[in-house]
Amino acid sequence: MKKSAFVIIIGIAALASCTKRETAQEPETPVALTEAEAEAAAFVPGVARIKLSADCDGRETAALKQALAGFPVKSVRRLFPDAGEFEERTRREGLHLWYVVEYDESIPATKAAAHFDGLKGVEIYEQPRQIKINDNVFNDPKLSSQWGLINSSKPGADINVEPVWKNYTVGSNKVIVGVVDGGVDLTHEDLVDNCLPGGVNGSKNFTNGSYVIDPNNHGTHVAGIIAAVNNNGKGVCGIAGGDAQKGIEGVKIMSCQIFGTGDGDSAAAIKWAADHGAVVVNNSWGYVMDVDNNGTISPEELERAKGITIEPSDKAAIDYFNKYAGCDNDGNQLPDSPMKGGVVFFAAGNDNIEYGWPANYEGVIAVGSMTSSGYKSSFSNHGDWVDICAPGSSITSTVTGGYGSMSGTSMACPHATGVAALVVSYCGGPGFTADMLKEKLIQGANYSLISESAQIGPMVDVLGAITYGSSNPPSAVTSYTATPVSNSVEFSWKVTGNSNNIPATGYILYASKNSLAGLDPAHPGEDVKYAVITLNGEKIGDTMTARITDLDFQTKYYVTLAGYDYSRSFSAVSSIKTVTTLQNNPPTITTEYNGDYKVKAHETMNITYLTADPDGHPITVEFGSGCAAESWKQGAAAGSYILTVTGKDAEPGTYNTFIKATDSYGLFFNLPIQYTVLENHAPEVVKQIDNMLFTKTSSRFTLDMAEYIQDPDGETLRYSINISNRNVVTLNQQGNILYGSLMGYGLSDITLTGADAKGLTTTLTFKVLVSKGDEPFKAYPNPVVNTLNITVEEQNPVDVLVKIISSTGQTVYENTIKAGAFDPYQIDLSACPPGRYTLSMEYNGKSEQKTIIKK
Amino acid sequence: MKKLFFTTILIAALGMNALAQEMGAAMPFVSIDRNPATSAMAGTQTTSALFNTAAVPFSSGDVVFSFQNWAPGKEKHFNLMAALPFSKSFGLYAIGAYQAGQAYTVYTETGIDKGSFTPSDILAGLGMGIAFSEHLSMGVKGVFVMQTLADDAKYNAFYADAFLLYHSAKVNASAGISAIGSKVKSGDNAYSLPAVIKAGADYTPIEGLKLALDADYYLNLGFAASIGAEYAYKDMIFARAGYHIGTGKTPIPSHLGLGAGFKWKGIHLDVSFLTASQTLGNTLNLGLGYSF
Repeated sequence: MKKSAFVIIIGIAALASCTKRETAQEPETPVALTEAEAEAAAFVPGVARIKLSADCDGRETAALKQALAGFPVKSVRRLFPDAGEFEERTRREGLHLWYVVEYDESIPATKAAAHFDGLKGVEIYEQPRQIKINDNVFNDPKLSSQWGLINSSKPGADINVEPVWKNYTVGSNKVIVGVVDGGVDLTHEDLVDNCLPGGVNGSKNFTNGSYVIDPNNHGTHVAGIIAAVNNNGKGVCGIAGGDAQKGIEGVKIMSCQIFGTGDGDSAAAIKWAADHGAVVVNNSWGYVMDVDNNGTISPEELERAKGITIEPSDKAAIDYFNKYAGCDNDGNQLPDSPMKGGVVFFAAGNDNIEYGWPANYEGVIAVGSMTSSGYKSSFSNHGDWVDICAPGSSITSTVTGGYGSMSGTSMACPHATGVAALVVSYCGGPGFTADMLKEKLIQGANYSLISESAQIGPMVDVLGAITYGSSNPPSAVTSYTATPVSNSVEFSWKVTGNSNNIPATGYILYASKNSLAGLDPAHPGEDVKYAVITLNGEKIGDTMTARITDLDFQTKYYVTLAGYDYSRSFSAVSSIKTVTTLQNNPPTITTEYNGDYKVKAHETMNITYLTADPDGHPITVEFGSGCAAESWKQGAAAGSYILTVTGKDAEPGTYNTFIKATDSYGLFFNLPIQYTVLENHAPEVVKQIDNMLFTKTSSRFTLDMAEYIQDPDGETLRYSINISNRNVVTLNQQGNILYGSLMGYGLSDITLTGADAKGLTTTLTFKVLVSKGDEPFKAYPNPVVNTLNITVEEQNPVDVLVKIISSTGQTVYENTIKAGAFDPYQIDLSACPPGRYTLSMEYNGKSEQKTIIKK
Repeated sequence: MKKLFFTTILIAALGMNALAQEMGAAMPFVSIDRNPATSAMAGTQTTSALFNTAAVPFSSGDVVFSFQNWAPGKEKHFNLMAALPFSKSFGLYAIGAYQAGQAYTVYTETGIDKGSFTPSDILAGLGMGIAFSEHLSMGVKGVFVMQTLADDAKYNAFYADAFLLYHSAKVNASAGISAIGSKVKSGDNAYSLPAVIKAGADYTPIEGLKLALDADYYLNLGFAASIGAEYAYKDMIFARAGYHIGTGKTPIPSHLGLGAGFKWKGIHLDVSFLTASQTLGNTLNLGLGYSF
């Protein structure tokens, strides 16, 4: 108890910081579905996948905006995210044009389909189907969220348990796993069948010395990772949880509770496990480094951590477990024990420091944590003392009365423990020792996933551990075909398995100009070319087809193949055959375009060419450059290239270009191409627009500019507008249509300009006059310097009697003029002295006098 | 002094060429008769001491303030004139006027309404008259004129009048030149004032009745003339009438003048109407003065 003051469960901090993502749910009563409901249930609601058209390439954002306009979208993301160094080829294959659109699940899929199907810019629409893990993997509903077991987002970044479940074992009730932790919920629906009840030979509560387990979330979560019951249609899967459908029990959990209302003695708990049948024991706890419990390790705390060593009593208990677990008093393996000696697993700790006790005691397996992306978890302690790593971030498992997600090395540790239990389940038996288990775990681990610099060890790998040191290779392929294809040889054979009917991990195809007699399949000579073919879910008896490539042309080769298992134990070499490779054939370039290869200045011509190599060789493609209007880009289909000629970018004329495909051996095909860019003609005014006179500012007018300015080449013109006085009129342009709104009184000149793709323009001007209706005459400017403009409120010019009289009554100008609203009469007053004058105007019985000023 | 007089005439004659290409004269309002007594007689002011400084030494002296509603609705004039004889051979003359024009709407070159502006004029002058004998005198005056047509259009000018006058008990006759002065510049152009050679006379055949005649030649603008009559009852009540003949080009158009006056212990109130003119309308001139 004295020591217990310094011991705290590692997971407590993690538990406090993690969010419980799932809660226990009442089982639902199954209800029969209608056919329509069943069809709908086959798809993921609220999700659509679309592929943008290839011509949107480079303008994806605008195309998406257009495609999603008016549709209630919650989120949009690329289906195939930016692939970094592989982004170029991702784009080459057009995968960057795929997007996942999430919308409200209440919207029927039929409505989404009606929106996206046939929409301009959207090439493909699909509603994703509900998916499940195929074959005989378990029916536990939350398995899809247990990335540590099967990682669908990053295949390979998991403990590789699926092939073991399929081909080796699902766990054995002969293996007892001690869980030194908070109490396990022994009655949990997903654990009850795999837990030892409290008792003199079972689980024990070390916080009060009783056999009554007081369950908590942490201990229950750890236990679920190791041995939640599999294939029972409930919750999650445990790594060694058996198969309820087949009546196979999983490993047994012995809850050794050291956390609860008080602290239990961890050393006594570990020894209890050793003395009561456990051969592996999980310890997701460690000594407190963050003494002030503020969530960070201060320099002082770090310095103090360096001085910590394992408590002697803990060391004694661990050493005892390692030595006597599964053994009698003399250290001999018990007849019913699966292993001689025990293996103790400890979580490395969550302080992201280079220390962690008791995990860094050499007598235990220290377990670090990794993420679903295959990187070190940010919190994981690390160092060369960490033996192995396992999934520890966002792990779904059992909690008291339900299910939830937690993160921490507390979750990584039971992954390693569960793997050990599964290995013991399969490999255990008389003579199987704890050292053999450790070797399998460490040597069979995946060293290629986690960077060595992460210092959390290799990734635990169940299949690797089980098959490590295997001497049971697949049987040799007894029948196969070898067919020459250009300078490749295509093999076809059926998958073989080992004596336990476990299929080969892969095959190696061999070819040599010399005899292959005496070939060592693991170490082929330098004169032997080979290709490694890995199986991808194929079963024994399935037909495989693969090629060995890059051989010499028209050359005789000796060929054969051999299978291997996960531990690279090879089968015997198959019978040796001779094959003579064929000659090389040049690539082909084809097009379905049958147009005339002429493009007008405003047009863009796109021609798709398809390149291919009949021999399957990689090809490189080169293009000519006939003129500035020409460009090439890759098409959506593999090997397709699009010639684009943009007429406006080149002078009229005939140009020559080419597309040339060259295979990896230098053989090429060159296709010359000639096209013509036709002469451009400027837009023309085909009809004048009459000036417009309005007497109400509420008036509106509409004009179709295409009626007045047209292009002789038939081009759709771009129109622009210039308004001299926006206080009089504003224009809203929608395509060719102008919508005019009057803003106030006055005169405005409007100039319409039609421009073609080459930038040639023509203009058309008209006037808009808005008068108050009570001002029949107008004289401007006022004051006037030289020329006075006289207008009258008439569309067409009329005779107007005009007099200009000085302030004293002297007549300085008198004349009958012709003036209209848009045809001002100009009177030259340059000879008139500065002063005030009265302008008198009269027409059609209307008259008015105005004061004008001559400057 | 004779030499000076004829030199002035010469300058006026030289100015004729400059007027040849102009549409009217600059600042034509300098030709307006601002005295309600003489304007009622259609502007027969050539022998009046409130216009002709040569008449000041032979007058009893007079100060008049008048309000003139010129071409009603278009201009309003506020005038102050004084003829002050200090002896039988010398007198001084002063005139001041403020003219408020009708507010006009400002339009830009494209016809956009930009608000309004009210133009105005200020006129101020001094003169003197000298009598050489009990029958003969001469007088001169100079007048400064400032015209404001817009914020950026302000013009100044200076002109002078010079007259000789014959005086007797029943007849006054005078001749001279008026409004001869500087040109009004606007941009690259310069415009002349309405310089005029004037000759006029008045005759009193019987007590209380005065007949008057003016003949004007506006340089390059043409001839104009005025005739008028005044009847005074006991030098207290006055009735006046006259007619001015102008051409369309002379500053003041043809019109009929009518008026009346009342005088009591030197204080006199006079009113005139200018009518029978399409351009002047019923121009009113109302004056209050004091005769010494």
